[in-house]
Amino acid sequence: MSFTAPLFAWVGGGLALGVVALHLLAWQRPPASLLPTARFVPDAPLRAVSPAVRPTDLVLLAVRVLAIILVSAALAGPRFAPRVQGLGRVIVVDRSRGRDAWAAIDGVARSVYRSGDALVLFDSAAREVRSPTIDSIEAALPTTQSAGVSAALVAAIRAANRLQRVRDSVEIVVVSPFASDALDAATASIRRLWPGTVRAMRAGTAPNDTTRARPLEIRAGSGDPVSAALALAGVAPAGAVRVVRDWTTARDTAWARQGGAVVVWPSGPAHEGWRARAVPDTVFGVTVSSLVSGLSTPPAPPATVVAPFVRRAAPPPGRVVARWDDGEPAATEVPLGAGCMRSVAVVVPSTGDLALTPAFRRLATQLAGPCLGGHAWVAAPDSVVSTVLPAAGARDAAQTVSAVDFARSDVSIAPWLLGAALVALAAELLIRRRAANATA
Amino acid sequence: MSTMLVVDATASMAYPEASLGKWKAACDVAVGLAAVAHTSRDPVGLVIVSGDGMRQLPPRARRGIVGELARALDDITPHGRRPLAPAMSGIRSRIRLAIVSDFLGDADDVRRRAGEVAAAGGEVHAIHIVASEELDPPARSFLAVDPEDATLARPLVAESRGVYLERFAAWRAEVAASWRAEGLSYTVALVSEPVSRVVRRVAGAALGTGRAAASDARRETR
Repeated sequence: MSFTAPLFAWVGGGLALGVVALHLLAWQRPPASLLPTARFVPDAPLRAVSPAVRPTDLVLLAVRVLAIILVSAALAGPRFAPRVQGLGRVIVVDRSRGRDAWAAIDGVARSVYRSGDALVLFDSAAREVRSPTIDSIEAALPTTQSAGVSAALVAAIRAANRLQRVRDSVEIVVVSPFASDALDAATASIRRLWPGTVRAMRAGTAPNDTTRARPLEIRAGSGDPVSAALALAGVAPAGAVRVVRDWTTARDTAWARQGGAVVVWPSGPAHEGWRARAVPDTVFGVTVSSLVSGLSTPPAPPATVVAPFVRRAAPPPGRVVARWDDGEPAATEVPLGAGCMRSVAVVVPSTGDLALTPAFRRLATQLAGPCLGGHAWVAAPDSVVSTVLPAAGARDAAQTVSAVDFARSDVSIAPWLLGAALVALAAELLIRRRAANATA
Repeated sequence: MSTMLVVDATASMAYPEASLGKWKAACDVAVGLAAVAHTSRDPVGLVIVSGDGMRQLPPRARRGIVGELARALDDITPHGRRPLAPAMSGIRSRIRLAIVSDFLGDADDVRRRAGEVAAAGGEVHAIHIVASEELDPPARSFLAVDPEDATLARPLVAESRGVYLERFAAWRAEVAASWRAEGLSYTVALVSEPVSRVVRRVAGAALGTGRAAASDARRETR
């Protein structure tokens, strides 16, 4: 047991000793004895202070001392929480990135978790697992909702404050791919509320700062106009994009499942699954609508090219990303795993300088962009993660959180002690009154 | 010259309660003085003043008078309260008067009556009996109760002890000075003191030897 304010305990002990001393030095009438010369003794009150050889009213003394001890103990704030040695962890696990990323996240979280640690699972909302075990991590189901690290940190700090009462030190471990949309403006300020360590463990994606920007992959023959247009445009997409001008392979499909965008833009006859037109025609214009990807980059303006494109086939059904001037789809996109397959039914003439015009270059650039929708995401750079979630906490924040924590911890026994003190004081009053009546 | 012994047997002489030291010392001094007077073939008488009244033995010079006086004193236990001066009212003028008392009663009246006796040609000796416990009371705190007046009870504690000693010493000095101022013999007899020494001092004063009187004076000064 320890005291939050031990000074009150010392003061209470001193008061109790003082009460005992005063009780032994009670005012009492000294014993009478004959003395013929008593007339020369100065006149004074017959009660005098003298050490009580045989202390009386021991019950009254005990009740008074008990009341003092109870009050001082209540003010001192006794704490009975057992102090557990060692480091405690709050494991914060991101389950928002689907099954593909979950395998790595689950492995890292389970390697960090130890018995007695707290566990917080989060996607768009955070939830602390009650009485967690290592199997609680495995039992968590991955989702595809957008993640919110800020909400997870709030729940984690709450759990860490509770864990701090029984551990010498506590750290928060965040296991996440740290997608760029998972961090927001509040994340850094919420992090500063926790004075201890926050360890950011990236899992489910490669560290961003150590990977080069992936160049656009183009599989085409020599002198391909699309390849030339993209080369002139200097495309460096934010995500992984592969432009296929011939036939798709199983590798392309697997690559798309891992999060890449495979742009199937055949230079020859239509692929299998495409609907060939009975009579080729032309509508002289194609427009790529504003592509809003899952990334945080701003949408590009529509790109339109007016030229006598020959329409030989229609792309397979999917989300339309480009339309002919008559409204028919010119390019569609189908999600595939974590990525997508985009089909472009715009036949580019291999002769002429159409492919070199700025309008076509913009069109090609947008068609060679990353996947639309929520399947594609970009991990925040490591430098951003380390800035938003620094490992060490702020000193002033530590004092604030610590004070709040101690003020609200283990005070539940104080009201009971004060209540017992009131009972003791009432008993003291009754005992004293009864003793006075007996004396009278 | 006839010798009349006036012995105080009031309650204040019954002190200390366990040993009755003051009373025994008074008896011894009285018997010793009677013996000295009887040796000189002077008639010796006795007046005992106690709470019950007075018991008188008129002066006689016959053999065995000292024994009679001693037996009379042995029969008495000091008690009660009664003034000492009335016991001296019937005393003839030319007489040797010895007053054995603690003078805690009507000391002024006694001295005044003794002065009258002396003025009429008599010889007066005052023997002041003082117990050691009165000079040095017990150190423990206690409620001092006057044996002759139960309503007079005062706590004698450490704080009041010094005042008590001062007042008692001042009173003794005042009594001695007042008796001597009237030319009367005054002797202090401590209970712890050998009786023979007291008797010699009183007898010496009776013989008019200045040596004994001077010795008394020095003793009182101390």
